[in-house]
Amino acid sequence: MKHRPIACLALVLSFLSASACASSEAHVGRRNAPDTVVIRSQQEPDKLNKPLSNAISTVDVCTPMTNGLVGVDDQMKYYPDLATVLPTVENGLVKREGKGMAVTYKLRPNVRFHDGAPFTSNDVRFVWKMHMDPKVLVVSREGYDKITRVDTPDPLTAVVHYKEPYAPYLEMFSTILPAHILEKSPDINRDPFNRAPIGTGPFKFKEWVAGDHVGMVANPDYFDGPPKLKKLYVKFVPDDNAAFIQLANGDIDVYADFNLEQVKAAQKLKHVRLDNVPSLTFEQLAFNLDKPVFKERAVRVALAHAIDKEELARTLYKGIWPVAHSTEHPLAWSFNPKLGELYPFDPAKARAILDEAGWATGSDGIRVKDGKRLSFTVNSTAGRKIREQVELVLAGYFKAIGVEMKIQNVEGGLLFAGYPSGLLNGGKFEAALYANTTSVDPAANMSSWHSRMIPPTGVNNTRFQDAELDRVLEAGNVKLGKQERQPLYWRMTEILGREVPTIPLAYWTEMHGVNRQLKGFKGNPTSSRFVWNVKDWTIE
Amino acid sequence: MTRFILRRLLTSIPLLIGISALLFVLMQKVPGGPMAVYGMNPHITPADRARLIQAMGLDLPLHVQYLKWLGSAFTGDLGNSLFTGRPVLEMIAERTPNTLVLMGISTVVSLAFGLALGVFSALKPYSKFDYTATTLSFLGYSLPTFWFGIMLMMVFAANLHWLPAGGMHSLGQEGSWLDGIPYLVLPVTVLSIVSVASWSRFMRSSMLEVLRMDYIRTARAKGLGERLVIARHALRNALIPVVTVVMMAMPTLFGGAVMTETIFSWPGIGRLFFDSMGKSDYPVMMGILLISAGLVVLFNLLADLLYAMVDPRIQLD
Repeated sequence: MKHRPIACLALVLSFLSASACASSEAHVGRRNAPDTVVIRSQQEPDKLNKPLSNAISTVDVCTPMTNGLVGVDDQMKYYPDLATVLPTVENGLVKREGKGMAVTYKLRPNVRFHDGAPFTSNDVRFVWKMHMDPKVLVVSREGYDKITRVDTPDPLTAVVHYKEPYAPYLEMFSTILPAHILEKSPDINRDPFNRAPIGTGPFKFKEWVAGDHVGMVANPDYFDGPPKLKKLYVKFVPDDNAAFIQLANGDIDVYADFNLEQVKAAQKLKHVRLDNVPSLTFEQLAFNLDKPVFKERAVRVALAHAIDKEELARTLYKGIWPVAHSTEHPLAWSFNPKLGELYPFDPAKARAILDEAGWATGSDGIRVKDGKRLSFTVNSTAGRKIREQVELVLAGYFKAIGVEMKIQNVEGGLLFAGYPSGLLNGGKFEAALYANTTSVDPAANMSSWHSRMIPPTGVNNTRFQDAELDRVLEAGNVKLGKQERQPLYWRMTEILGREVPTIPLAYWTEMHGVNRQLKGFKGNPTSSRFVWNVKDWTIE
Repeated sequence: MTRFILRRLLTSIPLLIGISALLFVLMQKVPGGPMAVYGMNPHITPADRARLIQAMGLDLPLHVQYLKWLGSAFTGDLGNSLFTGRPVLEMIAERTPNTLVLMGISTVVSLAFGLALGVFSALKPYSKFDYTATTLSFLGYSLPTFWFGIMLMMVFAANLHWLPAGGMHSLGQEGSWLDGIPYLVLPVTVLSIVSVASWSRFMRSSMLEVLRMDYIRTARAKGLGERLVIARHALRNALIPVVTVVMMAMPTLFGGAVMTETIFSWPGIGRLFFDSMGKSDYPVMMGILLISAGLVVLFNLLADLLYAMVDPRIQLD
C-alpha cells in the first residue's frame, strides 16, 4: 500500500503511451457534419470588408460571400464573374479615350445580394467612390486613383473612365459591395457591415464568434446555382502545432499554408492529401546597390555563380520549392522562356570574375581591394528555421570564393517596416534574404524596379536604377493587351537578369493539407487563394 | 480603515499614470509598429501609407499621442483598435467571460488540489507521500506550458480522440454550456498543474510552521482530537499567509494565460493580447495592460484588508 502513488503513476503513464501508439493509425476521416467544411485560419480577420483590410484571413473569410466583376482561376487566367464577358481591346469593350481609356462592363442580370436587393451598375460606381472617399480607410487605392468617373447608362452596364491607360485594369473591382447599405453609412470604417457582411456570393454570413470562428451558410439563391455544401466555417487556430493536431484529428478539413518543416509529418496522415500549388512568391538574396560593396556588378555576378541553387532546392527546400532563375514566375506570361539559367553554379568562374575585377585573396582567405575586405552582412527574419539554414549554406558557398558573409537576423516587423524605420525600405541593409511576391499582372513590377520608386516614394528596396528599364516599365503600364506588353516584360527580365540586383533562389510552393473526403478543392496561385471555387466543393 | 482605503486609492492614481506612460513609451519603441503588417503588400503605395499613418494618428509626436490617449482614458474611453476600428473596451468585454470561465475553473481546481496536497504533505513530512508530492510539484512547475499543452493534445485529442484539440465549443453549438465542458479539460489541466505545484509548496511550508507552534501543542495537550486540532487550529492559521498569495494571483484571472489560450485556441483576453502584439495594435495592448495594472493595485489593497480581518494583530490605521 505504501507504494500506491508511484504504482498509480506508472500505470497511468504506461496506459497513455500504449494507447497513444495503438490508436494513431486507427482514426481516419472527419469529425464534422457531412455537409460542413471547416477551414483553418491562423489569424482572425480584422474586418469582413476586403478593401478595408490587409489580412490574408479576410480574403479567406470574405471570398465565399462576395464576387468581383472579374475573377482569377487556378491557371492564373481571368474569367468574368459578375461581368458577362471580359472587357478587352479586341472585343471593343476597352477603348482609348483622349489621353485615357474607357472600360465597359456588361453585368450579369438577376444577381441579388443576400438581403434580396438587386446588383446593379450603381454598386460598381459605389466601389470606386468608396475607395476615393478620404474618410474611408481603404488600405490601397492603386488603380482607383486613376479613374475619373464611372458611368451607369443602365443598371447592367458600367463604363469606367481612366485618366491614362492602365494595363492591369482587370484587377480592379475584385470585390463588389452593396451600395444600398454602405452609401447611407455615417462611418464605413466602423459600420456594423464590417462584422456582418452582405454580398452576392455562394455563402451567406451567419455568425462571427470573436476569437473563435466565422460561420457561413449556403446561399440557395446564388446566381450560379446553390453551393453543394450547407455550412462553411473558418476557425481561427493561431498555433501551427495545434492546427496540425486538429487536422490529424479530423476537426479541421483544410489547413492552408503548411510550412516546410511540417510536410514530412503531414505526409504520414492517411486521411489527408497535400495539395501543392505554385506560388507567385519567390525566395531571394537581394542587394542594396547603394552600398559600396554591391555597386560593382562583377561582385553580384560572382555571387550568383557561387550559389548551387539545385542543391538548395533538393535539400533545404525539400524538393518542394523549385529553383528560380527569374523574378517572374514560369506560369506567368511575363516570364521569358528564352532567358534560361544565366549564372550556372560555377565557383571557378566566380573566382575568375573576382580576380579579374581586382579582388585579390588576402591573408585570411577573404579577398581585398584597395584595402577593403570583400565582406557584407545579410539580414533576414529571425526564427524562420529554413532561412537560417539557407544563410549558413550561402555563407559557405561565398567563403569558397573568398567572400565573407556575416549573418544578422532581426524580427520580421523591423525588416519589413516602412520608411524610414524598416531595414529594407529604409536602406539600412547590405544584403537581405526574404521573399518577394509578384502579381498576376506584371505592372506591379513598376513599384519594385523603377528608379522613381526608390524609397520613400516606392518599394524599390534594392535602389536599382536603369534608364532602359524605366522606359520599359512605363511602356508596360500604358500599353494595352498581352501581345503588345509581352515583349516589354521579357526585356525587363533580361535587364534584371543581366544586372543582378537580386538573386532569385526558389519559388515558393503553397502546401495545403486537405481531408481526402473533401472533393473539388483547387489551390490558386493568385491572391484569390484556395477559396476561389468553394461553391464546387463537396464531401464524399 | 476608511482613511487607509482612501489613501491607498488616491496614491494608486499617479502610480497607474506612471505605469501607463512607461508602457506607452516602451510599446512605441519596439521596432516594427502598426504599419509593419502593410510592409510587404506591393499594392500599398507610399501615398496609401502616408494616408493610413495620418488616419491612425501615428504621425503625431509621442507625447501628444499619449496625452490624447490618457485624456480619453480618464473618461472611460480606451480608444479604438487600429485594425478593427472597434472600441477597445467592447473587444475586451467580449473576451472577458471566456477568460473568467477558464481561469476561474483552473483557480478553483488548483486551489482545491494544491491546498489539500500541501496539508497532507505537511502532516507527514519526509514520508513517501511527501517526497512524491514534492517531486511531482517540481516537475509540474518546470514543465514548459507550450510543450506540455501540445503533448496532452497529441495523446488525448489526436491519438485517443477522447477530447477536442482546441476551441471553446463544437462549431454551431455555442449556446450549450454542456458541449463546452470537454473543451475545458485540457487547458484547465495545463493551467492547474503549475498552480497546484506552487500552492501546494506554499501551503506545506505554512502548515509546517503552524504545526510547530505552542498553541497547537497546547490544544493537543488539552486532549482535543487530532482532526479538530488540524481543522480548527492549524489549518485556519496556516491559511493566513496563503490568502495574500491567492489574492495576488487574482489579477491573472483577467489577463488570462497567453500561451495556454493560444495553444488551445481559447478566445480569451490572453489571445487577444497575443494577436494585438503581433500587429502592434497599441490601443488594445494599452487597454489590456492598464486594466491588468489596475487589478493588481486593487487586489493588493484587498489582500491587505483581508489580512487585517483574518489576523487581528494587524492594524491598518
